[in-house]
Amino acid sequence: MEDKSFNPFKMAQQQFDEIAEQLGLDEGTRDFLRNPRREYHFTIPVRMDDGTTKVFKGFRVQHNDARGPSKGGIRFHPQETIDTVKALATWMTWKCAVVDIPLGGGKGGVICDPHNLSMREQEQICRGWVKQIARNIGPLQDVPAPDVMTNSQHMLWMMDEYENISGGKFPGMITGKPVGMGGSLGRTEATGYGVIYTLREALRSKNVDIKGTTASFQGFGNVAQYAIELYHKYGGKTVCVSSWDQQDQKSYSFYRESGINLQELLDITDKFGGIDKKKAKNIGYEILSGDEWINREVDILIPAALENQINAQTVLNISDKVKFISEGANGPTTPEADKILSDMGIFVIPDFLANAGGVTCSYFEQIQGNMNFFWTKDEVIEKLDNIMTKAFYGVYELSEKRGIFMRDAAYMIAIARVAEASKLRGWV
Amino acid sequence: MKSGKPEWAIIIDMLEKLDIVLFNRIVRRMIYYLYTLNIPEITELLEDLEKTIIPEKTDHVESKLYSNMPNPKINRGSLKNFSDKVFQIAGETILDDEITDQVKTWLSQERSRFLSIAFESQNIPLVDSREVLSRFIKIPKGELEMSPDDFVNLRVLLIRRFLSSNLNYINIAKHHILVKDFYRIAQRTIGPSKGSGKLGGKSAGLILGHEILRNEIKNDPDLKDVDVPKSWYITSDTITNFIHYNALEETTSLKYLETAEIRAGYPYLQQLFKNSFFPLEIISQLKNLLQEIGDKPIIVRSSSLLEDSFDAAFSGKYKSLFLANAGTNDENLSSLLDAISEIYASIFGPDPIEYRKERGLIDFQEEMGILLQEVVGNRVGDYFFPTYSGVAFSNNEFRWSPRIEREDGVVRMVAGLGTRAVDRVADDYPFLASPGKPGLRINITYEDKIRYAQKRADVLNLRTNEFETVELKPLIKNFGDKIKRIEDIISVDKNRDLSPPIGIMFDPSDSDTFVTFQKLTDTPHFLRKMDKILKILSKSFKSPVDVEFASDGEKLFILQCRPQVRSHSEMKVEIPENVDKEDVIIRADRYITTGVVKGIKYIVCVIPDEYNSLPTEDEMKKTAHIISDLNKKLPAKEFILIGPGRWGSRGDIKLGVQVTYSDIFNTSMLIELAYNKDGYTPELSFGTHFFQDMVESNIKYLPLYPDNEGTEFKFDKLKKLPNHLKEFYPDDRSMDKVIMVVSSDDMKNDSTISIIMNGETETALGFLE
Repeated sequence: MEDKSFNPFKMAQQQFDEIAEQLGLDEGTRDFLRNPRREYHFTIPVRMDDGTTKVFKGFRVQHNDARGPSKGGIRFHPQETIDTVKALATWMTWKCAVVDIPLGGGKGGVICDPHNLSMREQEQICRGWVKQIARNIGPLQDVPAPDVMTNSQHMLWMMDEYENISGGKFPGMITGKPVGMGGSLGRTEATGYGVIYTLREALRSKNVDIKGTTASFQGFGNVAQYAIELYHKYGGKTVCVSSWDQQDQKSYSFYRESGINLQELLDITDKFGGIDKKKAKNIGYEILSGDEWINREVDILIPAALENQINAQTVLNISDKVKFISEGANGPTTPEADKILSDMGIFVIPDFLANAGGVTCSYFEQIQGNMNFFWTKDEVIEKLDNIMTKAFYGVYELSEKRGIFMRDAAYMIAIARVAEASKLRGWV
Repeated sequence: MKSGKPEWAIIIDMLEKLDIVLFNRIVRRMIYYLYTLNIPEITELLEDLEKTIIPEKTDHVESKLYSNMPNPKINRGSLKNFSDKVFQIAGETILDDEITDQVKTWLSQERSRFLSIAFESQNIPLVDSREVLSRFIKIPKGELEMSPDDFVNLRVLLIRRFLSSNLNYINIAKHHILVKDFYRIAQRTIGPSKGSGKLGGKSAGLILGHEILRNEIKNDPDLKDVDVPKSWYITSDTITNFIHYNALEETTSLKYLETAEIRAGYPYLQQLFKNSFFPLEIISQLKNLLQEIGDKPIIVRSSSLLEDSFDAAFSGKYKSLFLANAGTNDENLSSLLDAISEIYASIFGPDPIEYRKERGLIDFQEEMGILLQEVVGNRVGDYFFPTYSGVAFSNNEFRWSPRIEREDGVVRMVAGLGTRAVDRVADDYPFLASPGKPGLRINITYEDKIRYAQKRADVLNLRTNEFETVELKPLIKNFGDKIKRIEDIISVDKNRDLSPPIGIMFDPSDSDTFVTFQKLTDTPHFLRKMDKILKILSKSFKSPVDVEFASDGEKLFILQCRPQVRSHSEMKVEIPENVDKEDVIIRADRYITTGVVKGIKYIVCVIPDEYNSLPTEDEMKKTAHIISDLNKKLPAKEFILIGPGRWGSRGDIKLGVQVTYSDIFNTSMLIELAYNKDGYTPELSFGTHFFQDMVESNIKYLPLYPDNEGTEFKFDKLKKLPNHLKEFYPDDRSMDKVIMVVSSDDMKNDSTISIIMNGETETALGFLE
C-alpha cells in the first residue's frame, strides 16, 4: 500500500514539478533537479561521559551545486527523517538561486537530542561529523551553518576540526561564527533590512513614494524591529505592531495613528519582542487584540511573525487601502489567501525573496572568511542592499513580463537559474 | 622483687572505703576487662554467680534468667565477696603494672563523669549546661580520658537535651556531633536560663549536616570553601515563657477550633503577639547577639519541634523573615523582636494547624525554636544579597532527560536571595541543573536560554530596611562589576552568542547580560561539589536530603539541611493497591517522577497512527491548533494530554504535535507515547521544549512505552468511548479520527481520573475514581 502520510520531500518535489511544468523543463533536467546530487550517511562513535560508547548517525545532503558550493545548516535533531533533510536541502538550492548568490543547496545533521548530551559529548559529535565528511565539504565545496539546536559554538568546533585535518586556516568553510572569530557584522540587521530593500524597490516600481506611506507589522522581533528602523529612515510611518505577550500567552496589537516611535517601544520590549502593554498604554498606544494589525487602514502590511497568518478568514479583514505585502516571516500566507490577495490587486513580495537577507549575509561571511578580510558593517549593509535590489528586479521583471504572480515568478527564476547552470556545465 | 601490696591494691582498698559507687564501677570495668582477655577464671566466677541466683542450672538457664519473674537478689556480703574475688583473679592472671595502669586510666576517665551525670537529667537548665560544657572544654587535652562508650553515651545525652529525641536522628547524630561541638552550640543558644528547651528541627538538621560535612571538608579539596553562616539558636521553650509572660495561655487551645474560625481570628492574634513583650533576660541575650552580628542582615527562621523531623516532613509551613538590620540599635532590636513574635504567632496560623490536623499531629505540643543566621551576601549599592543561592535535592524529581537518574539530584538556583528558588515564582525561572549529570542542560538553544533566564532577583534593601524584588537587568547594568564573581552566573549576549564576561574586559553598563550560570556549571567544580555534598549527606542521613545554599562569591554556605521533603500535594504518594482492574487506564514503570494528578474529567488524545498518516503538513498543524483551542475550551486543570512522540517538537513535525507552551498551559499532565517501530523505541522529549514552564506551573509529565512489559495503556477501551470533539467542532468533523476527547463520566458514572506516580518505586497508576 502506498504511504500517503505527509512527506516533506515529496511535497518539495511536487512544488518543483509544478514549476518545472510551467517552465517546460525537459525530462532529464526534471529528474536531475528532483533529487539531491549526493547524500552522505555515516556513523559517529562517541565516547560518552560515563565511559560507554554511543554511535550517532550523521548525514549531509547536497541537493545541487551547479551554481556554487552547497550551503545549508546542520541540525541536531532526534529521529530526523532523511526526507525532511532532503526537502530542506532542495529549498536551500532555490533560496540561494532566487537572490542570485553563487551557492547551491545543502543540509545535514546528526540524529541526537542535545538535551541528553553534555557539551563535551556534543563537541565529540561535531568533530566526529567533520572527520567523516571533511573530504566532501569545505569553502569550495559545501559550507555548513547553524540550524536547529546548533549554534556558533558547534560551528567553531567543526571549523577547528576541519582545520586540523586540512592543515590550514579556513574560516570560510562554515558560517554562523561569532564576530571576531570569522563571523560577519550586520547579521542581526540583515533579514529585517532585506525586507525593506525589496519593499522599497516594489514601491518604486509601482511609482509610490515610500515617504508618506503607512505600514502595519505583525510581530516585533528581530526582523520587524530592523525593518521598522529602515522603513522609518526612508520616511515611512508605522502605525501598528503586534507582539506576543508571554504572560498572557496571547498577542496584542499596539496602535497609534500618529505613528509609533521605534525607540520608545524598544525601551519597553523584552528580548523576544514582547512589548510591555501597561507601559505602552501609558505612553499613548492603543492596545488592541492580536489580530487587529491586519485590518489597519495602511498602505503596507508586513507579516513578520508566524506562518499561516494571512489565511482564508483573515484575508477578508484587509483594508482596501492596502496595496503591498512584504513577507518577513516564513510562509505567512496560505494558498487560498494568496488567490484572494491576487484578486484584490495587492502586490506581494514572497517570503523567500523578502527574507533572503539572512542567507545573503551568510554568503558574505563565507566570502570574508575566504579572503580573511572582514568588512565594516556599512560595507556589509551596502552589499546587502545591492544584492537584494538586484534580486527583486530579477523576480519583478519576470512577473511583469509573463503577467504572473510574484511568488510564482520567484520560484520560476530560481529553478530556471539552477537548471541553466546545470545545462551550461553539461550535466543535463 | 616488690614487697607488700601492689599499687593497684592500695588504690582499690582506698576506693572501697571512700567512694563505694566509684569502686563498684571499677569492679564492673575489671570484670569486662578480664572477660575480654578470655580469662577462664572470670567466666567460672560469673557462672557461679549465676548459679547462686538460679541454683539448679538447667538447659533453660537463659529462659529462666529472662523469664517474667524477678531474679533473686544476693546480699551485700556476698557482693563484697564477689568483688574481692574479681581482683584476686586479676592479681593472679595479669601483671601488677598492667592492673595499676588500667585502674588509673579508668579513674581518670571518671573525671569526665560529671558531664554525663549533669546531662542524665534532661531538664538541666540552659545556664547550667553552658557551665558544665565549659568545664569540660577546659580539661586539658592530655588529661581528658573517657572510654568510647562513655563518649557515645554523653553525646546521646547532649543530643537529646539540645537537639532531638527522635531515635533516627540520634542514631545518626551520635556519630557526628562531638561533645565539644555542643560547647559551641550552647554558647550560641539563647533562651530562658532556667529553661531546658531544645533548638528545634531546622537548627538540629543544620547542625547535623554541618558536622557531617565538617569532616569531609577537611579531607576533600573540592569542599574546602563549604561553610555554614554564623548561626544562633533560640530554644523552643522561649515561646512558652513568652506566652506565659504575656498571659496568652488561652491561645494554646485555639488549635482545636474550626479552621475557618482560626483563619478569621488569626490577624488579630498575630497583632496580639507582635504587641507582646519579651522577658528581659531574652532581650539582653538578643542585644548581645545583635552586637556580635554588627550591621550584617539577619534571617529569622522558624525551627519548630515538628519541623524537619526525621519522620513527618513539615516544611514551608512556618515563616522565615529577613531583617536588613540597618537601623539604630533600638530599631534593630525592635525589628528582631517583631520578627520573632510573628514567627511565634505562626504556630497558631490556620495553614499549619490545618496541616497538622490532616496528619494527626494536632495533639503534639508544638514548640517553636528559632534559628537566627547572618544573611550570606555582600552589600552592593543599597542592596544586600548573595551572588547566587538555591536549593539542592539529592533525589531529582525533575528529570528532563532519560539519562538523568533520580540519584543524580537537582539544583534550583537563582541570582540573589534563594526565596525565588525555594518557591515557585510566576513568570520567572530559576536555573536547573543535575549535579550527577552536570553536562545535561534543559535549555539548548539561544532562544530558550534567554527565555528561561531569571529576570528578577530578591534582595534586601538596606536603605529602606525592606525585602525587595528587583529587575536584574538594571541591577547588573548599574552594579555588575561590584557583584562578586558575577562572571560565574551571567553571560553576555554578543550577537546571539552567549559567553561569560572576561574579567576587566567586562563593562556591565554596556553589555546585554543574562543569568545563565554558564561559567559556574560549565566548569566541573560547583556541580561536583554539590554532588558530593548531597551524596555525603544522604548517605549519612540514610535518606534523600535537601539542602539550601547561598554563595557570597567566595564561599558556599549551607543554610539548611534536612531529609528531602516534597511539596504538600506530593507528600504521601502511595500507589493504591485495591483499584479494580476495570478502572485502571494507565500503568507505567519507566522514568516516573513523583506526583499526583487528581480530578481529571477529560483525556485529550492524539492518536499516533492517525496523526502519522496525515497526508499534509497543514493537517498536522491543524492538530496543534485544535489542541490549542481545546486548551482554552476545556475546564482548566481537569484534562490531560496524551500524544505520540515529542510534544512541542521543533523541526520535524512528524515527531510530535507542534505545540508551544501557550497551547497546553491548562493541562494537568502531558503524556508522551512511544510505540516501538521496526524494533526500536523512539526517543521521547521529556517535555524539554517547555520543561521549565511545566516545572513552574506544576504540569506533570509521564512517558509511556505501551509495548513494554509493565506498561498498560487501555487505548482500545478509550477508542470505543464517545468522542466529545464533535461538541466543540460541530461543523468540522475532519479531525475526529485524529483527536479524541473522552470523558471520565462515559467510563464510569460520576467519576474522575487520578494518576498517582511514585518515583521511588518507579510506578505510576492512572485510574477511575
